[in-house]
Amino acid sequence: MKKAVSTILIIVFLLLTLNSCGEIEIVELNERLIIEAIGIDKENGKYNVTIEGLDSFTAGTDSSNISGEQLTKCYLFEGETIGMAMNSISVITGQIPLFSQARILIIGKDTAKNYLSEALDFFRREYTTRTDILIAVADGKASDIVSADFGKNVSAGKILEAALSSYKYTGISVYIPIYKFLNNAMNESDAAYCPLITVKDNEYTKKKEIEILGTAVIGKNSDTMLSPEQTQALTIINNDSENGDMTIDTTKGKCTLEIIDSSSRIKTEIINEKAVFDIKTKIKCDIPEFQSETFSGLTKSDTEKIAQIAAKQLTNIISATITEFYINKNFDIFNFDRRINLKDSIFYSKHLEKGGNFNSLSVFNISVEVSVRRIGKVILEKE
Amino acid sequence: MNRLGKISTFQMFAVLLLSRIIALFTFMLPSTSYLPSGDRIITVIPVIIIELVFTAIVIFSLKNCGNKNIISAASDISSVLGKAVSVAYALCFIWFAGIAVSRFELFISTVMFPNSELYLMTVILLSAAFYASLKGPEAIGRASTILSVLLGLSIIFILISVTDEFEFTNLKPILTQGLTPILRFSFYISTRTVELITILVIAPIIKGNIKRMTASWVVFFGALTMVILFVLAGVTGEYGDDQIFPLYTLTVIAKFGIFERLDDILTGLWVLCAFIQVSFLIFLSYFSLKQSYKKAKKIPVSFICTSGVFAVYLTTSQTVTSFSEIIGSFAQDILFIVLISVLPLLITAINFIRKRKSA
Repeated sequence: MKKAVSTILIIVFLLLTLNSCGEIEIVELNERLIIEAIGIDKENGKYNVTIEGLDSFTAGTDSSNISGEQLTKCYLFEGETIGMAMNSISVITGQIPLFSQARILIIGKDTAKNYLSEALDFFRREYTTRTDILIAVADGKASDIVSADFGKNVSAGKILEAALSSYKYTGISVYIPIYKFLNNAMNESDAAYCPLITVKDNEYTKKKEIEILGTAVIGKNSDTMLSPEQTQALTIINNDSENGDMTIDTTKGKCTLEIIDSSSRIKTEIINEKAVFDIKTKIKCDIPEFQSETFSGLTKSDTEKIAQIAAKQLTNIISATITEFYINKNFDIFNFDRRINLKDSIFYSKHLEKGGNFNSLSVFNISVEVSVRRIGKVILEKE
Repeated sequence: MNRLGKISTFQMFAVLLLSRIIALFTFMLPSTSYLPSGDRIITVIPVIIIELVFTAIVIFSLKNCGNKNIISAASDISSVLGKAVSVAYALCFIWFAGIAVSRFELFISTVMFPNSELYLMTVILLSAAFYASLKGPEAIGRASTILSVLLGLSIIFILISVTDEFEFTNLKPILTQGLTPILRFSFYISTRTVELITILVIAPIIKGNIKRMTASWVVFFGALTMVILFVLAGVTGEYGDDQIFPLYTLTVIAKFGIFERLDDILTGLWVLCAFIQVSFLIFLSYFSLKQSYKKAKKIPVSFICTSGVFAVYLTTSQTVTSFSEIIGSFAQDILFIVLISVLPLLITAINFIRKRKSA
């Protein structure tokens, strides 16, 4: 009996699986529009969705690969909602969109400023989009970036992803997947931030190239922008990046410091109805370049002096960034409000109910410690 | 009874772990979003306490039944009562298995085959579960042991992979809304732990110390849940609060070197977990009926139970997302409490009185 049941079940499985029958539709690869980058703009009450998709109709044919005309194609779809615009993809391309491979989502600056929650709801809710797709704001229209000509067989999605990944080495841009952006945007007191990018002409190749202008900050009612230098302060405070470069002027010459390691600790205390933040940053640097007039070397006291100047410079940048964005403009990109809430939720709730902002109640003690680890291939000179 | 095979406490632990983990983490109930993440994490503590109380009741009832399960104990009082109790437990297992299949279908049709209704896949899953249930608890237990090792390693790997994304500022303070919502939610979670009810029925075929196994399972699973919820809150913050498949969301974020699609690996394991859970519940529904209906044939009765699971799935699959809101929590709470405490304690009390009278 058992053998009979087993045999029947095996036959049923084989019949079902080998015939691929049933309601699971098999979609061939060339029936898919593999999306690399998505751009969103809202104009005249309608969403314009620009899609860069792999040209899978030519893929796998003789004209495919690097000999093909273009690796990717750009499409523009329009709709009252993003979902409606996305639905028209199949109508126009004859292919089923595959969002899970999309690398980057770009939102036009005006759209991000005025319709952020509308524009992002599709990506928060729709099953097929990835949780970790990168997000950036375009300085202008998103369509200009997604449809830019970066060169033959170059995918805008890949180029953009690579450009944003440079944060690891430069420290002057941020790297924000959509879940992090939404986490900030959905919080009651926070401001969401992501890279602000544009495209410019490369005068040698005559093609377009990406430029990261800094960081776009989208608040509940307003927006602002951080310069690359301010972005570096942001990434240092938030421990978002460990690397980067900085230049300092000394009496003996100009010095470039390469940040090897950076870590910040923020201690929060509530003292006399004030939130006191002790920000302690430790940075380890190398000196890859020291420009002097006479090839003069560096002594131990020189490196100590350089470290002191660098620490002072960074303290000033961090202090100025906090003052401008948190205290003056009330954009909590550093998560100070969340720290207050974690430290003393009663104090936090009391002030939030009053509709008060925490920026006026906050005091900052900033200290930066810079240590020079290496001075390059040149030996340390005697004092 | 021996023809059905025995299951060791270790294997039973693995079966319960897999069943619970898929029930809790592949479908976060809508009500959870009303609790801040900090409160959600500490909810685990009252859940453990409530479940340990239920465990104590289960163990107390089993101890007073001798080497029998609760259905046999009811049959000792009256064969009609025995039959009624066996049907009640069988229906309970069929119900929970049906809900599990509905949730599994929702999960698969969301992350693997979006926007599809997967009757065929469900039929295949149920056919496989039906076949596995015929093999008995030992086979299910052995498969669970291997699978729980794989799943455990995957979860550890994923948790380690996302440590870089962890930010303390994403956490929320606890008890900001008082104790009431936490206790209410703890009760809500605890009264859906069908795994504890299974102990009342399967006890006679478990080899080893049931009390230690059940208590350690409750504590271990609670601790594991706490760690997962803590990491989820620290990594995703507000975004994670309204995710219907929280552990899956975490796996999407997890990256390890060139391995960027850890979610795909785990999706395969979820399928196997669902298979274990449904097989185990189908077996138990047959086993419950077998206790009172001695002539019940294994294959036809198991087939009827599997059909029952499919019927529950068909009824609930269209509204599974909002199901707990539709039928109301109260009815399910009462049903659970009756099956895990009222009925066993009543049967134990009657048996105790009868013994004293006869003595």
